[in-house]
Amino acid sequence: MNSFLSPLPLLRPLTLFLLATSLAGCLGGGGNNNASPPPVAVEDRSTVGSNNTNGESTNNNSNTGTAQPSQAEVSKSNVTLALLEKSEVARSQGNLKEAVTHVERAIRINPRRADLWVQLAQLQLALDEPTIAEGYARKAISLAGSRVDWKRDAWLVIADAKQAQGMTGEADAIRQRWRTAQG
Amino acid sequence: MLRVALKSIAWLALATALLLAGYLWKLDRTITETFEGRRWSVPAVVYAQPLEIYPGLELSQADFISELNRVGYEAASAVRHPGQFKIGQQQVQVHLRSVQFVESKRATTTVTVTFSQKQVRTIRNLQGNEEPFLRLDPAVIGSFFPSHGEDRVILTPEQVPALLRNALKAVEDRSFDTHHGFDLRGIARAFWVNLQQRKLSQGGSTLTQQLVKSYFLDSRRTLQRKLRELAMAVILEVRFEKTDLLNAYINEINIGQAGVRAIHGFGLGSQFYFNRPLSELEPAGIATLVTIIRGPSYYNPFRHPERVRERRDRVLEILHQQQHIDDVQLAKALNSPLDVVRGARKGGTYYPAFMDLVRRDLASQYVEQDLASQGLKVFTTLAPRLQDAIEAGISDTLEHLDKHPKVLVQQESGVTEQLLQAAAVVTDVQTGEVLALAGGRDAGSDGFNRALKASRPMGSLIKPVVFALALEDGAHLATHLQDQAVEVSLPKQAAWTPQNFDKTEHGQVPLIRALADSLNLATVNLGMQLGVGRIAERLAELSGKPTKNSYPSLLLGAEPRTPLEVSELYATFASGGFATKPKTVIGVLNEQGQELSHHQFQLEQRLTPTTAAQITRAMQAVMQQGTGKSSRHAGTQTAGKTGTSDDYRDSWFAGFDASHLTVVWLGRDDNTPAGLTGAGGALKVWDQIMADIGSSPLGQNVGAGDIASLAVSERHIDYSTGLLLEGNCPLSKTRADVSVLLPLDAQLLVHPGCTSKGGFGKRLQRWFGATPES
Repeated sequence: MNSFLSPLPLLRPLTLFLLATSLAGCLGGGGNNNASPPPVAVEDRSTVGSNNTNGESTNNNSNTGTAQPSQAEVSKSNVTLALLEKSEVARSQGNLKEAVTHVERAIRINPRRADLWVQLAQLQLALDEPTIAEGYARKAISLAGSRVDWKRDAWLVIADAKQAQGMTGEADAIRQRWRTAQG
Repeated sequence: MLRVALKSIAWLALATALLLAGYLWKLDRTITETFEGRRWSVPAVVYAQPLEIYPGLELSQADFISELNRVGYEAASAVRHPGQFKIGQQQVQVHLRSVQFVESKRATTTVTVTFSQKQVRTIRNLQGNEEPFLRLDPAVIGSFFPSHGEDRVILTPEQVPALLRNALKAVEDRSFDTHHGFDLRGIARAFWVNLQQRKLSQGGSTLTQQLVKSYFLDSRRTLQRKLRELAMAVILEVRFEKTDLLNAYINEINIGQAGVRAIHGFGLGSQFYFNRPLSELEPAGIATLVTIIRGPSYYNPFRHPERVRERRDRVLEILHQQQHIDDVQLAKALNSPLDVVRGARKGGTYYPAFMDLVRRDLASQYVEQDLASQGLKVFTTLAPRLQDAIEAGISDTLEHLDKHPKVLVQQESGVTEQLLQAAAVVTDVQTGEVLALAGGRDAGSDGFNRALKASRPMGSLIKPVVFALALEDGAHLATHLQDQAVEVSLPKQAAWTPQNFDKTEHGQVPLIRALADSLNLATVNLGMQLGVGRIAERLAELSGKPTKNSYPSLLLGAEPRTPLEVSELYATFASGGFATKPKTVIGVLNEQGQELSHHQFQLEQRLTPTTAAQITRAMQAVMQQGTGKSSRHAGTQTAGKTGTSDDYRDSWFAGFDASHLTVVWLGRDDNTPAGLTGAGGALKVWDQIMADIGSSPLGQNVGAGDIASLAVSERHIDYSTGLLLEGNCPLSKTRADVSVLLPLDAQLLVHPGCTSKGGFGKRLQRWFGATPES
């Protein structure tokens, strides 16, 4: 390719001009040493794409999370809300075990709602089951997606669970990190 | 002399009297003890998950109706009683029964469900207001009846229709209310009637005597027996109220037989013959049941319908005569057919394979004796619609595969006489709950439960464990592995030289391809580097079960596992890294509806979300580019792994989407070759099951926030070589294009086919770098 340029000195200014513009483009764009990853389309898994464990699929094509939520999703949110209310009523009356069954029922319908797993984790803490609570909280974190508020709530449960198991240092470190998280 | 004789007689009389008294006292004790405690064996009833219905749910009107039928509801022209529903234009009105759920009771109420385009549209309550959801009654899926085989549903006096009480008295024991256990007039009457031979033949026994006979003694008709029976009947009458005795009779009397299971009591009798609760039966139904108890085999309505109907009609006439039913009721009843329902599965258990697992799950907390007798209520995770789907999927696909030449050749060449067998397990990916379980190709069979008991080499199904460990050690999906011949030296044996399936070496391959194409050589090379011991440990941690195999053969799956155990391993991947225990029980209540035990989700994080996401990504590649690409669901974001053991003996597939993990095994019970690969056999069954239950796409497993914090980035590579696809690449967006998460500092070469600014820049560097290319 060099042979293309060398025997024609008249073309050098043109070449230089082309080079200059190309260089500008090169610096603006990406090379394989340039760490600017392409944007990742991520669905907010808190509301999209979940379905009924009884096998009914709500195959709704909204992988990008930008489509309108289907009626099934809206309904499931309503169902979840109704069950969370029942759970709260039970909890406020001191019926923690009953509160748990309502949240579990909600999870069966909407298994990837991270906030439901947070609820379950908090109830298990109240029932003096810190190890189980931590497991559920970690599950919530893995499902929370971009919902930093749910993640924070889950981490705070983990902190309390660690506290309950005597791991005060770790508990404090977690609280330090997450107390101020916005969400 | 006379005085001595008299004295002896007196002593003898006294002795006899004492003996008799002692005997009667013993009888009395026996009866009272047993009777007072109401010690009937009431087997635990086992329920499936109730169907949750809400607007937008994909459920057609027809499907809704079949679900109502499943729980014993009947279509009617008007909804008057609980258990009835009325079909309208795109809507169904249902009179719901009062029902016990695992955490609460629901009172009887009426709802109307409307449909539109095979979806639920609205649910309205009695007041016309919309409800957010509706929970149907949980279906009964079986009971733990005891080894002596008695099964019953206990009824309290309030649950017994008056008509039944009247019918029993009218037909069996007219003077029940007044006699003292035996009825001389009744005996005489029966004698007279039987002589005449034309009318309804009566036995001479009172209900009380029949009760004694049924409850205590066998059916030997000796005089001694008869007298004993008489004595006990009298004692019962003295000790207990008439209502108690009648109720006991209603719950005790033998009313049918189903294999080894003896049906006792009108409560279960009503379910057994009509699939409805006793309280919902019409006079015709009650009369039929009263007919049957006279002799359940002689008056078996399935075998001798005409005989049963004839007697039923006579019973109805008697009821009419005695003014227990009016003219209108009589006419209607005489006109109605027998209406007995021949259920699909008449055994005590409708889903025997699943019940096996329930029994196992309960064994640590409940003894068999309690399960068989205490009237417990067990609420399980079974989803009957999914169960139906897997049973159909297995049966249909196997029918097909039976004719496959590679399968037939085993039978035709005399290697085996056995047909292919199968097992499948479906679990919820997030909770671990077992939604469906098939123990063999014949679902209703109570035989060998392959899902729980067929321990077979897992073959390539173990590979994700090896690769997960590699990822944790710092590799990524584009890391180059060597798929080349390897010789593993073994102690006291000849060296092991594994081979790829296609007997070829593929050279340098990216990790994702080594897993998706199931390359044995790359796996063994990698595994030996990582260390078999570490892999064995990781297998134990991820699957919940340790291995006894510490040899290199473990790397290619020389490790026996049952389908359920395989499911437990893959649950860790499918759930995003959480070891999730399979569970079948939600809760157990006692007879009064109080909670005895609650069984919660059990999960523990064992893989980081990134590792789990990457292994899942690789398993998606199985479906798109790898050994599973023949699947119908390849393009719809499912993930899985095929497995084939030596000589094609076992055909495995473990696959999941966002909701369900389904593991399928195919093979033969005598361990002769099935003749099919994982893709050729088990995957086909899996495809059919997934088509029936519907799939939900996996989507992203690691969110943008996580990606940012984990110092990884999403890149595209060429499946074949692992080279980066960046810029303008002809391979982009083709089947060769795989997206993977790579560490930010990963050094990868760009695929030569790509032309990008980066590439031009490189050329530029060469120009200015001076060395001319030749």
